Amino acid sequence: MAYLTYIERYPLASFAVVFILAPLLLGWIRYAHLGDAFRLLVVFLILDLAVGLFMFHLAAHRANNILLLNLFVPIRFTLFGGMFYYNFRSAAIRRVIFYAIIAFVPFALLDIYASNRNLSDLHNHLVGRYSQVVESALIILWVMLYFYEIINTMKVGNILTYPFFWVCAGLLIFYSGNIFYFPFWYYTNRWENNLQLGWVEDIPYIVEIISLSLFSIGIWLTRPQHDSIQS
Amino acid sequence: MTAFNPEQVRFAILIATSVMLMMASFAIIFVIYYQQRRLEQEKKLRDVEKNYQKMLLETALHSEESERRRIAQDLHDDIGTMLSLTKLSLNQLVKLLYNDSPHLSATSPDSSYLNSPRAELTLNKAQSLVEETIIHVRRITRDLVPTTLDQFGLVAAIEEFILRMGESYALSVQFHCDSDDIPRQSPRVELALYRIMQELVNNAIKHANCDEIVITLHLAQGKIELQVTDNGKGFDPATVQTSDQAGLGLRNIESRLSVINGVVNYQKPGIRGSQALIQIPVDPQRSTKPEPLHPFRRTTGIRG
Repeated sequence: MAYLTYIERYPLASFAVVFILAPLLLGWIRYAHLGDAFRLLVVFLILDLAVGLFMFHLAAHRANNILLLNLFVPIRFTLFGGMFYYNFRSAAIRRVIFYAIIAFVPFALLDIYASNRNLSDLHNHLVGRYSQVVESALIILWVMLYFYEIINTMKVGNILTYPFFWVCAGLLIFYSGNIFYFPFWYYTNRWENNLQLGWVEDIPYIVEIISLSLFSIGIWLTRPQHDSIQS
Repeated sequence: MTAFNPEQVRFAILIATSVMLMMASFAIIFVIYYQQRRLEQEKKLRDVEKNYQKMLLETALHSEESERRRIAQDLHDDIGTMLSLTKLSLNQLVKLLYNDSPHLSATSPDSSYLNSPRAELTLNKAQSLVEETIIHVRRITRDLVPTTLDQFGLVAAIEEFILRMGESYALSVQFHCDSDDIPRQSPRVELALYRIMQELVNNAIKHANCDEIVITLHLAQGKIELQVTDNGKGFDPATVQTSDQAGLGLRNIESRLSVINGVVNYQKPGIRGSQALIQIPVDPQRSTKPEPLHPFRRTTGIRG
């Protein structure tokens, strides 16, 4: 009953969780053809679904689920960073990504600590203030650098049939749609005195559904010849 | 909390997010457009390069054939004529020495020497050597320029080639063809197919250690198919083609095929042997009427 009430109140947020199943199902179908980067994407989708369902469960029972989101941020960044690490040809950029992942994880944990004076108070747990913004800026940077590498090196035959391009497009849409909204999560996602932004709060779910659709295209286009950089 | 006016924040987020999403969409569309455009340009460049390579190859093959014709003509006109004259002179000499010997003076100091069996043997040996050389020159000339191909077409040329193979090698060469089905092709196509067949048969003899070769020529689905099968030790085309030393013959075949838009497919017919299947698109029908006999007809500009 609690679930149905939640779905009725937040249909878009509920649909965004269920929609993760689309790329995940395609990932399961195409799993044999997936390269390392896409396997990381599948891991992300599995974790995203698990976290999403658990958050859905907690939200339906009116319990604070922000801790899950906070812990998921460094994991998400690590997995996306890993995807770029496997796809970039430039050794220098790969090295930068590697160090960025190493640096981001403690930064995100520190941000959780800094944003929550009392970590044991899970009821009033708050979203990290900066980690998601930094994550967005870095992922947008990786995507733009990857686009630059694609058009500069011409390593891809037809970009419309190149799976990782669609994943990058999905990431770009997701993080571009959220980068100016993430700073306000700290104020909107709290039990008391929260900032009410109305329909603007649905933006993250809309961009998430769009990005999941683009991930699905990318996974569907995966074929054995696309596992290698040259396609 | 109260520092934020929800209306202002909503408006700011909306504007900023819209701008960001527009920029992201623009970046995605730009990458697609730019990459496709560069791809098209590269494709055009590759086509130009490919055409240029094809033209170079065609010119090289044409030059090779012209040179073969020139050498064949020189062999036939100069060396062949001189050898025939030498043979004639030797015959006359024999006639002079032995048939007309009563006219020779018995007191001549050389008469006993010329009438000796050793001199006769040497003359006969010279005669047979000249005859053998004439046969060799004719064979080389025919190998250099397959005149039958020009006059009677591919089927006749292959039949003649097999006939000559039978004279030189102790192996069974079979040729299966329904000649009525095969239309005459342009000279360059027929010549390319003939040279490829020659290369494949020579490869089978030289490298495969075979005792049977089967050549088939037929028409299938608008394509001329030439198949050369042997029962030799077989080979792995991938290994041979990537090898630096070996595979020159196979590369030669592929070069010739690229000029006439043909393809080659190598297979292993059984435990032993190898099979090469050549497929080329059929050109518009060429007159089947035999051309006038010009054994070493020059193409314009062969001899500068």
